[in-house]
Amino acid sequence: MSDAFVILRELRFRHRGGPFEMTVPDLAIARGEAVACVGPSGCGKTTLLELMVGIRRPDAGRIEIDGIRLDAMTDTALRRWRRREVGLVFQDLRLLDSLTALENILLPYHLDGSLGDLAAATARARRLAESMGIDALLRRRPRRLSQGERQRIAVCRALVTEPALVAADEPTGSLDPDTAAVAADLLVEAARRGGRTLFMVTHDHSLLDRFDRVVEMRSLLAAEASS
Amino acid sequence: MRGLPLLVLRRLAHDWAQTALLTACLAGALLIPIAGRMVLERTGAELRRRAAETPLVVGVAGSPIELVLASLYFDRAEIGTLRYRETLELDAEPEVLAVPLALGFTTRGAPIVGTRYDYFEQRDLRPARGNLLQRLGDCVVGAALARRLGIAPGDGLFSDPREAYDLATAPPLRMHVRGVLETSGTADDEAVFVDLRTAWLLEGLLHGHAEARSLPERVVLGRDGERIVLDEGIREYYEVTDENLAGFHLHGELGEMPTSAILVFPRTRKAETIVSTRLDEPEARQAVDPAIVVGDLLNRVVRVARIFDLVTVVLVVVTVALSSMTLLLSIRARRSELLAMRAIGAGPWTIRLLIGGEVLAVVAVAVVVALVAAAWLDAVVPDLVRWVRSA
Repeated sequence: MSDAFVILRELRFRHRGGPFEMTVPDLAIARGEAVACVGPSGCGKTTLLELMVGIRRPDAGRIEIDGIRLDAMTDTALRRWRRREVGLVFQDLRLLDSLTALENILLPYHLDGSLGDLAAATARARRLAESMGIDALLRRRPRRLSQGERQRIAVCRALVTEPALVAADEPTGSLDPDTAAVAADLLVEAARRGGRTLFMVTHDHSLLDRFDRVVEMRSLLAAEASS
Repeated sequence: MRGLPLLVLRRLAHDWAQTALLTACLAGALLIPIAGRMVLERTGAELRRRAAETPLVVGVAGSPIELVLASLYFDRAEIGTLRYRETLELDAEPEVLAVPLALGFTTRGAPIVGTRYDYFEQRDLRPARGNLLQRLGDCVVGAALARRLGIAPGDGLFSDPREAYDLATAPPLRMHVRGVLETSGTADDEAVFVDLRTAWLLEGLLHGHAEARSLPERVVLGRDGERIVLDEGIREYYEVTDENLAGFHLHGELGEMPTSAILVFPRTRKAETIVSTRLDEPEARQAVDPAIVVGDLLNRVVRVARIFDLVTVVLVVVTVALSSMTLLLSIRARRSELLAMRAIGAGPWTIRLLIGGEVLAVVAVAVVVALVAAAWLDAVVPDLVRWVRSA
């Protein structure tokens, strides 16, 4: 793939203190592509996502994002890159109850003052919230919001830094089918609107038709790239 | 507010009960040793200062500590009775000033100190309002006591009955408040001063009789020429007035009148040596240097305070250990949140700064609370010291 945004090659990873071992021969994702990753529990979907965004380090192999070699970066550089270039959505959302919805969206800026102008980020957060219909809820605490509203806050937080790559780890895992469909639409649309690459781990096969491509973990690990 | 300070503040506000409890515990652990030390140092300084200003105290043989505490700080103690003759003998000594004290009576719980005018000069006590003692039955009131009881010159002040059910004792005396003293920062601020003769009046050793001819007919039982027979209900006066002042007289020799102690102020070192040698008769009386007695007393207190220090150290260690455990449990409970921050890109130092900031904020607030409380204590320590002394 000539315009590959994400390139994973001959990637090997072994869990410290555990039997799990994984080898990814080759995976490439194009810029702006929306990719879903499916597979049975414990096959390494989350590990693959974490390797892709630099949360975990591979034992061997090559990870290249937008021409940048992650496997060659120092931890500090990797964290700085992740803060700027990656938007993450977690299965349990991981919103902070001590912060308002707006402050949760702006969390990356509070954790790293050098990330950019907070006033501009705040304006962007408000626009994102407005586009997702939660602009009236920004002063509320997460525990006072519905699961769907909390989901939107989490998506806003992933997008507020205008990342090139959005990585979502089963963000619909705890939602009912209807809400899950809405959340998946939201994520895919938001990524497409900004021209961002989306990599989403999911168990829910009913959501897959929204994505440009589906990566099946078992096939991937068997060195048969699916496309 | 933005950045990590915002996150720290929000977290502390979110867990406000835990924050308040931790802050209170730490502030308490900090305050207890500060307050203890403060009270001890203030008490010690006050005791030392007063003792240093009094070269010699003479009293009946007995406990030197009780003699010093009673005569310098007006603590209630049974210290026996000297005869006024001994003061008069000291008066005859050159280069020596003797100031007798008659103690034991109270007014509204405050000590009444019978003394002579020299006491005010020696202690550099001046009236802030009104005058010093002018005649029998007058009193001057210490600044703090006057403030506490709302007393001003011109008011009356009754002595407390010594034995409420003993009709043989002198009845309470209504004293005339002649003046209120300036604040001295010593035990004088909490005392009422009267002339020695007024103290003897309280003892019932000096009393007056009304001019029989001026009494109303209802108390006259009969007349026999120059003699007038009065009802036995006519007893000692309860108040010294212009009309009855001349009728007061001593029952007994002046030299036999009682005093509690004598403050001796030798004007030279030689006079001090001579007087202390002459007065110190272990069987009958004692002449003590208050500075030495107070020094010994404080040394004992300091030894006890070391145990208090040890207990304080244990208290602080236990508080810090419990606070640390609470913090660790709190971090464990927030694991998911902290992992999210790490995943978003927060480095280990950012997380450490965040948690350190929370700890620092709690400790800072606890220190501020402890300092504010200590400052407040500093203002009330004189009252506290007084309370500790009187308890």
